Amino acid sequence: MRRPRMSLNGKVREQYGGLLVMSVIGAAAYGALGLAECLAGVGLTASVAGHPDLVRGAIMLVVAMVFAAGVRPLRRREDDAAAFAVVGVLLGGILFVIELAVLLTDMLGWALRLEDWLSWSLMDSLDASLFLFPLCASLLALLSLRSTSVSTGGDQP
Amino acid sequence: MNKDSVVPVAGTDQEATTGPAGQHDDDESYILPQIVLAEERYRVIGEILEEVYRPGKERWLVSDMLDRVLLHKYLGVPVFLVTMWAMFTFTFEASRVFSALIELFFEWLGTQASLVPVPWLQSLIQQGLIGGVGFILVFVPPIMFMYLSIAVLEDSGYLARAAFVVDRAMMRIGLHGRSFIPLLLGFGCSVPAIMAARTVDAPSNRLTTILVAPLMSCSARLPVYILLAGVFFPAFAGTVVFAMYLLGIVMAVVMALVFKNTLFRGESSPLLMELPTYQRPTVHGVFRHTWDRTLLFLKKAGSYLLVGALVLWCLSYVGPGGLDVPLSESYIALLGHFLAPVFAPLGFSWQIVSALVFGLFAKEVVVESLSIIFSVEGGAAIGAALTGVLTPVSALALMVFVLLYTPCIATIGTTHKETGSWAWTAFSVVYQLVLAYLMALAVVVIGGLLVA
Repeated sequence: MRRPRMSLNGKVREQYGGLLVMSVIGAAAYGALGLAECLAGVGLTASVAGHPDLVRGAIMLVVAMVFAAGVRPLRRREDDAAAFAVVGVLLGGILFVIELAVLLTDMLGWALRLEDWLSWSLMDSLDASLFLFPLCASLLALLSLRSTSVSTGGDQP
Repeated sequence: MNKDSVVPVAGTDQEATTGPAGQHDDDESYILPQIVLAEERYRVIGEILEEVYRPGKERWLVSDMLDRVLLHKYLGVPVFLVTMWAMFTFTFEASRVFSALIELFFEWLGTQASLVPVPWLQSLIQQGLIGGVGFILVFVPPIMFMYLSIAVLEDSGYLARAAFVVDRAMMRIGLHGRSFIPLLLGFGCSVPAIMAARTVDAPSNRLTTILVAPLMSCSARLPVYILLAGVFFPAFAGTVVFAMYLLGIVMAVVMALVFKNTLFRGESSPLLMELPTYQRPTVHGVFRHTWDRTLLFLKKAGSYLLVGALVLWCLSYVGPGGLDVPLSESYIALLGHFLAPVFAPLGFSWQIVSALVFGLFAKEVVVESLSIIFSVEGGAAIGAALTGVLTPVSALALMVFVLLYTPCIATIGTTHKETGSWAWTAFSVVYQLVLAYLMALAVVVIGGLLVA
């Protein structure tokens, strides 16, 4: 049976430093915004983006937990430490895709002038997940680019 | 040998492959035959691999890497909850605009039907067919989106992990393994979920699974949640629907625990499952699964939901006073008024009570009945009618009641077939009705206190 393979210890281990930075940033960003959303959900503060929702905040805290759980294994350079960062980005990606799908369908409703969307504005469908995932994905893309340039000897004297 | 070729055993952190000692009262050393077979199978695989495969330190599988987190002792369940929440948010939020378009189409069709000169025929088409079946078809997009999400999870290999992770949590609180796979099927329909309980080993465990499987929220209940959540909690509708599905799982676990500690005292047995490697779902596969399941729903709408709509319309059109009586004097109103005092503490009006009674035939009929009873067409109108007879707290209680009371006649029939006993079938129906009533009452009392 053919199975997907990944030479992790070679290529990815070179990126452990970068993944560590990304995990810390991901944990802090999702954690801070998730906490703010939870506080907004119970009515203590104003919402960061869109409607205040306690569960939505808790969901972001779980993503933060996944990133945070990977920090120690990455610092210790354990074999499968990258798993937490990858799953964190994956979860962030799922939330991003869903929020994007909701945003696009809302736009469709507004464009078709359907009754429920007459008073809709872009701000109604904006969610913190829409900003956080591009941040993490950009960091991951930067790491890949740096790794590619290192492995091809582009940056070496 | 890579990690995911090891047979994970729920509740034991992938260490043991044998059942706990003493699971058969008469023989302390009894080991389940399938476990022996699995052990033997992997022993042979291991021997072959030892000869032909030299693992290199630099090689690692993506599946192993993902499983490190997705099957994590503490992170596994939260990640599963995030996935479920994402699924229901997508199901509800992204499908709204398509539902609105279908609704617009049926509104237009209703306008055309008003040109029919014969009053009773016009009423049948407008309130019976368009108001009943047409209104049910408004829920095709969310149902399709849910099947799409399930197909992606299924084809990617995550659903098997979800079953493993939740089963492990169940094992930790002392419940038997193996029953989560049937329970997982309950998200689609309670009938196959009850039938899948055949895979559960001991009779007491099997009976527990049959009794709790209907508590898992089947797809037929989705239209009820979407209608009520959309009307009463529009800003958090996705979260409310997610909460209903979560409550179904929690109640199934709680009731299984209650049965285990009262009616069926027995040992737990581990879930033995082979986890497939993660795959990238194909567009063709996902759409094929989604379309097949949606087609089943459409067939259901075109067959007995149509018949149900005609019967309901007849009952709302006819009364002791003859044909074309006011709704309040129709047979459907008589039935609703007769049972309404029982449901008065829950804040359900006679219209809601009638819909719940007809919901015993199939859960989609609850929405169909409400639409016909209120004699309206389209979500906004039914929404306004619902806000007139329900408060947000009683709407939440209604969702909980719909979640927990007997799913449908087909489920009752299957329960009888699988248990072979009318006594257990009656017990199943009665305990679900009592549980639904008590939980709905709890929602009303606690919700009332919070609102106050």
